[in-house]
Amino acid sequence: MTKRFVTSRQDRVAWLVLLLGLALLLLPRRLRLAVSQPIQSAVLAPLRLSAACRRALRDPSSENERLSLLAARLAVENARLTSLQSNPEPAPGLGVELVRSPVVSRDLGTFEQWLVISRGSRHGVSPGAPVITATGVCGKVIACGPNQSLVQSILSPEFRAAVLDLRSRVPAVARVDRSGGLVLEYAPKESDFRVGDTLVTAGLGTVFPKGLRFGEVVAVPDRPEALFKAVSVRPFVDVSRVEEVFVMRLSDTSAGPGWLENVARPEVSIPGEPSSP
Amino acid sequence: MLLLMYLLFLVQASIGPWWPDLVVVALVVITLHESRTVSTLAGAWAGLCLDMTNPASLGTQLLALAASGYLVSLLHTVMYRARWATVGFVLLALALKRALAFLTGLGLPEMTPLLVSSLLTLGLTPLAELVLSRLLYRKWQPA
Repeated sequence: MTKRFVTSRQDRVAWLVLLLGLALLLLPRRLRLAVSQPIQSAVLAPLRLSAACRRALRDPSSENERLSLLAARLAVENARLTSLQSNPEPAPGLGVELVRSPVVSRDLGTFEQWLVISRGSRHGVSPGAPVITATGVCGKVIACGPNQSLVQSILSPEFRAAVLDLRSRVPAVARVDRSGGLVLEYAPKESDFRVGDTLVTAGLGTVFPKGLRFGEVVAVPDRPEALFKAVSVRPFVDVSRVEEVFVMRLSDTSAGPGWLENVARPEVSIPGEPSSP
Repeated sequence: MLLLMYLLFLVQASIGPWWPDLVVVALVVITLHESRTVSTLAGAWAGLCLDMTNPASLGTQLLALAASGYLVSLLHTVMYRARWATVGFVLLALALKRALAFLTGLGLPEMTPLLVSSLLTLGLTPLAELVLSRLLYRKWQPA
């Protein structure tokens, strides 16, 4: 009976197919991949097409939200890694949660000095929390209601932030000048600032962790009569166009040495300075 | 028939490991109605499609399903077709498929999804036989 099966035409074809399968199985891995590539693209084309359609049909706004949150997280992680460049001690966990919040109101004078966001103490936002976007520092929370918070933007006249030149490591204080642009205050005349330098937060004070992207040096005019160097800065965040921000909720500031040390509760003060309430 | 196998492959590739093995069930049902050559070719085609989801193991599923088609077709001609025969053939095909994957170094999937999927496949077999026989061959004769 076996002989009849094997010698029939049907069985010859079947055995040929089986031998083909065996031959494919015995091919070297590289050759297998090369052989399968054209077949794969043809066979899997409907699956890839349906996956692409599913992606296209997915709500684009939710995808946008996901990507902006991801970008903000990466900005924070980037800040942490930047700060660790000068700190060889082992890094603690990130210790930061990002609260995504739409901007629901602005000051009606300039549109860029004060922002109202629709997240408040119920969402874990507290006064003093840094406010960022994926591109850099946007401001800080200065007042909170249960569901809304007031953000002082980096272009507010009262705003100050300690920043650091990423190249030369020179610290300075960023503030808004009379014309509404950002400048560096108290930058010594001999300090090394160049056009194009990136400024990040310096990690001085108790508001901003070290390393958050702040702005770019756009002009360093030479004024021999001035006591300090006048450095003009273009912020990375275009506050007038911000529609959504992320409030940094610093959940673990006591996790040991590392990135968030400066935002822990102050235990000592500098002599001669008024102590904070 | 090849188109049906291909459509079932697309469904199979889109669902998770817990779901029944639709390709094997369809192959066995087709095999009960077709010649050995057609059964083997149908199995080879379905196996080739499945191999494309993991090109590094090209040939494994092809060989497993072509052999399943051939063996089931062979057994079907020499065995009395009892009520449980189709389920038994599906079990044989599933065992052959997993065994060959294991022997060629692909390993076995997780045990729980494997068991659930196999049980669902076996449970689905009588219904699939009824539907596919009516759909493709316009006849269905219960054993």
